[in-house]
Amino acid sequence: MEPRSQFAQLMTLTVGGELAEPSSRAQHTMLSVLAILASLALSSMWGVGAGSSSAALSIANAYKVPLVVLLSALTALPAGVVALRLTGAGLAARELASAFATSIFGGTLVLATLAPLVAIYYHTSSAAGVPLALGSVFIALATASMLFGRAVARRVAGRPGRRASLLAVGILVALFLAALLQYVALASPIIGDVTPFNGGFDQVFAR
Amino acid sequence: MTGLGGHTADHLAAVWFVAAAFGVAAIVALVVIYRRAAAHRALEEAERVIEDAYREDAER
Repeated sequence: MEPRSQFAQLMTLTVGGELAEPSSRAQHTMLSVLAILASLALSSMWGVGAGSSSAALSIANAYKVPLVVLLSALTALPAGVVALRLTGAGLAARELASAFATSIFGGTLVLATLAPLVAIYYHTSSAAGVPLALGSVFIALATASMLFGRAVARRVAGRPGRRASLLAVGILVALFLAALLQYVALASPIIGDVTPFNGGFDQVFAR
Repeated sequence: MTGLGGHTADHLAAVWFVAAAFGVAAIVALVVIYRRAAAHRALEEAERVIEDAYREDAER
């Protein structure tokens, strides 16, 4: 299988399509892993753009941002699988993980496409630079959540335990966001300026 | 000077180091899983080709 065709298949899965030929379990595993590895590269691009105010920050972000994304996903995934099992959802853990991987790929794809815009605004606008950088993250998170919900909804269509599967999606997304908040704080500074997210949960939800 | 959760900068740096080590280990594991899946896929493909060849021979 050529890498190019694999990428095309990954895009097909991400937008909710079906693979042209009957696919094996090994092929699905390959695509899921490829989705995660591609997500790391794409989030690294955003990190470089968001940290372009200084060379040191930019270089640090090239590995910090992918690690933050990966660690958040790894922290949230076990809870999502447990929720899936406990609720007796009609979705296999492997299918949940696969949908999660492709949705992260979709989200980081949005991040990477917005990276040049974030970088140019960061250097040319004092008012819009930071809000745009944060906004691009929220857009990516919304996109990834939507893709994840849609992917799981399509896979469980017509199967019993549909609601339970979507509950597992909700739990997984909530835990991903909770983990992301703290990993971002731990890895800060990611954006040159101080944001509420630099202080993690304590600062974001401070009274 | 304290940072997140009232912990020192050294403590937070150690936490980040451990977390990053887990992340790197996960990346290595993902690469291993990918290579194993690719090898399995190649075997499946070879089996399919052999099966098709036998079927063609049998039809002749």
